[in-house]
Amino acid sequence: MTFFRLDIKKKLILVILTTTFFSLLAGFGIIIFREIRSMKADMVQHASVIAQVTGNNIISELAFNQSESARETLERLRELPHVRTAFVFDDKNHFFAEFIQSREDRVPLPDLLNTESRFEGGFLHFFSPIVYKSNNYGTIYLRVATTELDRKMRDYLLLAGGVLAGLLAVSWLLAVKLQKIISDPILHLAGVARKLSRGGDFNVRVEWRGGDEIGLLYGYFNDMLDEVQHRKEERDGVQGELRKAQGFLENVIESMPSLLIALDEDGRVTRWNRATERVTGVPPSDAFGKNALSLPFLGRYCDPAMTVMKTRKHLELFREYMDIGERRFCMNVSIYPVEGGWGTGAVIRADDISEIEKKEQQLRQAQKMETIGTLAGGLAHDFNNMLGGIIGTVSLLQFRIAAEGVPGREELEKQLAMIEESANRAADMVLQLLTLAKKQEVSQEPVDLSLAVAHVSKICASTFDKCIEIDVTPAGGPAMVSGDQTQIEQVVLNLCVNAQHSMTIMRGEGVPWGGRLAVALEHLDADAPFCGSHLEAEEGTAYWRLSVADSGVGIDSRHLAKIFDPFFTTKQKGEGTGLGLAMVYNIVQQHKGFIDVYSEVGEGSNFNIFLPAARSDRPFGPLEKPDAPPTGSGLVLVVDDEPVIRQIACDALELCGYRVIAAEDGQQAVDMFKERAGEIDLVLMDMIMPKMSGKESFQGMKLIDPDVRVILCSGFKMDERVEELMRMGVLSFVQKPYTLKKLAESVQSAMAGSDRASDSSPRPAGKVENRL
Amino acid sequence: MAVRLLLCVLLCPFAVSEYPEYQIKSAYLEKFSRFVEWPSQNQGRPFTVCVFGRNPFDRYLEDLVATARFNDRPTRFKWARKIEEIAEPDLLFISSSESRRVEEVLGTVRGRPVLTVGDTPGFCEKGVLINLYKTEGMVRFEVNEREAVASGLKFSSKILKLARIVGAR
Repeated sequence: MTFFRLDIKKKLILVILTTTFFSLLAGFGIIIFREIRSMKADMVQHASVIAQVTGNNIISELAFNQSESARETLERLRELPHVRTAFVFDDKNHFFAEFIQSREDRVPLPDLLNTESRFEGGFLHFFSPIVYKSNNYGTIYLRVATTELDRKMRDYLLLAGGVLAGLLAVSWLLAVKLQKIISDPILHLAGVARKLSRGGDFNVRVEWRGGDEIGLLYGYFNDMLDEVQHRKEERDGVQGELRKAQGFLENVIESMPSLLIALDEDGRVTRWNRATERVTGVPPSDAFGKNALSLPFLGRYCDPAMTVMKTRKHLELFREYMDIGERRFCMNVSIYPVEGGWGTGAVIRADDISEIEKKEQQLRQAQKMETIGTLAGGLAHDFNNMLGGIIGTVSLLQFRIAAEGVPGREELEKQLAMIEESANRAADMVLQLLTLAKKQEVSQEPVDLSLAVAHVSKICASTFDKCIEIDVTPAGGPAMVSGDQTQIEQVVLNLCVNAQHSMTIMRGEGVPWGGRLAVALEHLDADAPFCGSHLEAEEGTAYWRLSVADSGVGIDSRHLAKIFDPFFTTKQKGEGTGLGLAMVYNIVQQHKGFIDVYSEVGEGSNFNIFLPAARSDRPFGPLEKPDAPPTGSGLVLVVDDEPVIRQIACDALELCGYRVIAAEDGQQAVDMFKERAGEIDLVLMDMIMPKMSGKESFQGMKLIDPDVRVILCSGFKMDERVEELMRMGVLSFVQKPYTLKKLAESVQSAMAGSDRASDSSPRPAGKVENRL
Repeated sequence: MAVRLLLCVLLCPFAVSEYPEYQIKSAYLEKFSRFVEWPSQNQGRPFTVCVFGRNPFDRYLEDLVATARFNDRPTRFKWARKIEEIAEPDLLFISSSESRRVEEVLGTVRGRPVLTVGDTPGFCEKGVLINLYKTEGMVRFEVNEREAVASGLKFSSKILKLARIVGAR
């Protein structure tokens, strides 16, 4: 393999010389071979002539057995010194005569069985028959020395060798010169390539040398360099941008106040931002590559992170308390799965909400105190009554003992029972206040909303102004959610207190206090239309709806957006802190629930709290796939000023097989009804609308068609206004938000009740279902 | 040297001691026909070998004629006891028994292409073309060259080279 180690110049020279050598050798070989054959043939020819002449001269000697004369004839061969021996045999192959040049040429008689002429041992052994006029007279054998031939051959080979050597020398000189034609451009290319690989300067180009393959190679090489340079520039550009973007992201991550920790699939740390370092005191260099289990604060999230990697579903953990160093932190922790070319992993983000939590706790406490303060007014009256009962009884007893002496046993027991009852009532009340004032951690325990509602309504009944009528619609069984009993009770209580205020202290001067507070619990399944109007709702989940409705002053639309902001209040100074609804919002959020509010100035407000029902407890049986809503046909006019609600209603009714047209307000609805009076089978109408209210619209339609079929819907509970409209001929009432099934059922029963014209006809089921 | 000589003697086919004299001589007759050329008019007919006088060849010549082709022609044998019987042969052997009548016989064939052969001393001088004789135990022959030219036969130099020439031109 040493050949392959030679440089290209030597290889080319070697190849050219080898080729030349073997070509010349073959050429010379053929020439020499032919020449020798020709010389041999000449010699044989020569011997043949000698043999024929000699044989011809001894024919008659053979014929007449004159060997003496034959010998004399043969003696003439002495003039040919290379003819060393001659033997003549007669036609019976018997020896007849001989000629011997010198003593050393005396050789044994040849074997006549093989009369083929041959070169052997430095002699030509030539046999020739002696024939005259087609008669065979015998055979002549000549032994001719090849000295001359050998000399000629030797000279010839020497000459050929010399010429071969000369030609090789010439071809070596030529090869040395000519190999440069091929090797120089290749070496040049190799030199450039070497420079490129060392220097990396892709601007250099090789000079173009011609149109042969090497020229093409140069062209391709240059093309390749162009491509490489282009890609390099492109890559450099992209790398620069990438670095910038990376740097930017790095800065974002590092400067984030959140703790960001990335783990690989084995739970080892691959990222540890500055916030994490600040909180834990562990520098990134110490954290990288370590298992999460071995690091402070991270250990408890190792297993959840593994689960997240496995399930690829992110995990949110709220209000995680942890002690790092001497400090106690409260954090919201999110764990996200991340996937990339490098494998799977997880990112843990922790937001330090210690300060917020502290403030919230203070807020909650302050709110609680405020609530208690609010209650205290009402409480004082009752408590005073009870104390009055006790003190009055005691002083009465004291007076009677002083005046009449110790009363009889019967009288004494009666008085003591009165004292005991009053004292017990007072003790109950204190116990309730204590329960509410108790500061508790957030827990996730089964909570029965029915109990909470009962508990709060009991407090309300005993503390609220008597002008407030409290109407509770229970769930008819336990209504289980998962959460914190105290917090939920506080939600209910806050809403009730607000409701009470809207019907009492918030009323204007001269307006009489009083109204109706309705608290209701209802179970519902979140179907598609429901989720369409409540983006926070999760489809397929069961919810408990807790509604607190009042007939108070209402909230105008400017304020409605702000009611959950902390410290926002419309109450008089000293009457409210602006914390109640903020707390309600926080608590409901923490319980994975949501709130919607319907309110109209002068009409009242309705707060709906939706809390996910605890799965284990479903009072209405296992959750089944929602039944297909009842379908029907006909043209329905949907009237609602809220575009989303209108759209949902249209979609839902179309889904049930109805044709639907829609109007944005009462005026438009009446116009449309007039236009298509005969066609419209049913009108689904919002009760409270700008321009023309539900009531006015209904009256307008009734003028056009006295038999108009109308279903009313509203965010409010069925109240006096609804009942008034029902008396006027509205078929039924659906409370918002409604489910697809409920709406479909109401529409179907309204459609079916063709004889509804008479007020005395029984009301459709849907109406009954939606009554409080 | 002695061995080689002995070998030569042993191998020599025509040693008189080994073959009867007239067997050799009949073979000589055939061989003469090889080195003599007859005119072309003779070529068309069979070659006739005629023995005049007492036949000294025993059966040898007749046997040879039956198997060999003289002058490359079909050959027949004829024995003539009278001159008239000689007719026109290609080769005429004149027996020594006819020494007294030899010139008479030659007179009938003179000037014609008839190869006359004898084995009697003095025949050649009398005009016989080839006359056989013995010397040192070997059969040799002499040729009357003048008569040979006259006869119209052409003698090859090869035969003349070995012969004793009588009556040179």
